[in-house]
Amino acid sequence: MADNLVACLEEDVSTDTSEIEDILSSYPKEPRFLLPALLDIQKRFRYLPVSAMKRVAEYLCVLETRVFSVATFYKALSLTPKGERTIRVCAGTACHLRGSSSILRQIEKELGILSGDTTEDGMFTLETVNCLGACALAPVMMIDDRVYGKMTPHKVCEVLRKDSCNDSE
Amino acid sequence: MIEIVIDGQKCYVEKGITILEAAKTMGIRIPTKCYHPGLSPSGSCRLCSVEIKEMGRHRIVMSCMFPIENPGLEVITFNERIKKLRSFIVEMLLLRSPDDPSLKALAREYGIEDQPSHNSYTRENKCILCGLCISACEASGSAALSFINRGHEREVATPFDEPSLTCTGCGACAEICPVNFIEMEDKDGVRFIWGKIFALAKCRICGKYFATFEQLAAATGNDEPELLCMRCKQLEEARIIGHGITTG
Repeated sequence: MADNLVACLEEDVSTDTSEIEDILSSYPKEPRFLLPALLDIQKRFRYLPVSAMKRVAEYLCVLETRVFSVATFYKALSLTPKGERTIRVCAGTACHLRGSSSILRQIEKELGILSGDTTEDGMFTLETVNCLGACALAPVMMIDDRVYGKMTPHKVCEVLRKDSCNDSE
Repeated sequence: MIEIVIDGQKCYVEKGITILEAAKTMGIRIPTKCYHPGLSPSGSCRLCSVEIKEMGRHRIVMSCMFPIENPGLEVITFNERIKKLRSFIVEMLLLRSPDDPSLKALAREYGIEDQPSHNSYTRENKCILCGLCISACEASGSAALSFINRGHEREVATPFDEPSLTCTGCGACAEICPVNFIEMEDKDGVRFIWGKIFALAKCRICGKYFATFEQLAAATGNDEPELLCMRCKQLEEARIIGHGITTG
């Protein structure tokens, strides 16, 4: 956690303040736009830099405590940089029974990271979710918006390889 | 005034006051952890649960935040159902804060034994997440605290886990905490709280350290406030009034 925090602070210097101003300027200065503004910043920087959160608080006239509260409450918002792509492995009941844990282990092995972490090259973030709503396809995983059903550890390798190929094209 | 019945006794109460307030005026004790008369109730500790009967239907409500609006309301502050419910709540609170004396007293009252199996899980004392410190800080005007994260990771923190800019070191949060979880240390004229260090002001009469300079400035709106502790201030004022009486 401490390491992550240091990373955050270091990157804070490099985040472009003009981009944050750009994002904020599309919103009226009203507290109700807190969540949309944070989501936009998350989308742009793949995390919420502390300096950006402070600026949001100032711009929307929201207390800093409130901004931090909201930023830590939602799973869609992150205080540490996320990977370019997010892999979500379903750990719901159906997927669990059909062996989602071995899928997760395989991905962890392939990427060399644990669930919840991001690869060093900033390419992938690995997460487990409680249900993706596609139990008939169990075990299921998602890479960004694409769903991969009826997974096996063998298919994991294939999908990951194909996915990185697609990306480089 | 509205006529209601609390524990079988008829009484007249002002419209809009809460069941807890009404019970208090009648001398009926309801246990609470997250209630403070000066702050708006949050109903987070659930200890003040009571049973009400309204239009023939029984239900459990939080007495600290249930306003009495309609006449004929019947309140039962203690029965088997409430006892069971409160025992469960005390047990849960005790898991988070096993060494708190007031919780231990409640546990004895509700016949809960200190089960070693509970405490072997973690013997560390945690915050019970009642939110009193947050309300107190907000009421003081600093608003330096809030809940962060969610679920079992929920905790009270200052913005961005950094020492807060608005914190005046008044210590209201530590004082109001029902389980003494918030760490505040006063030592040699210096106060440590929430990762921040404050210099304490000395009373010019009794010489005791009594508040931080930031707190005094925030309370008086004056950057150079008079350095008088509460007791000495009262004595001083009493003396002035007394002087006025004797000479006038």
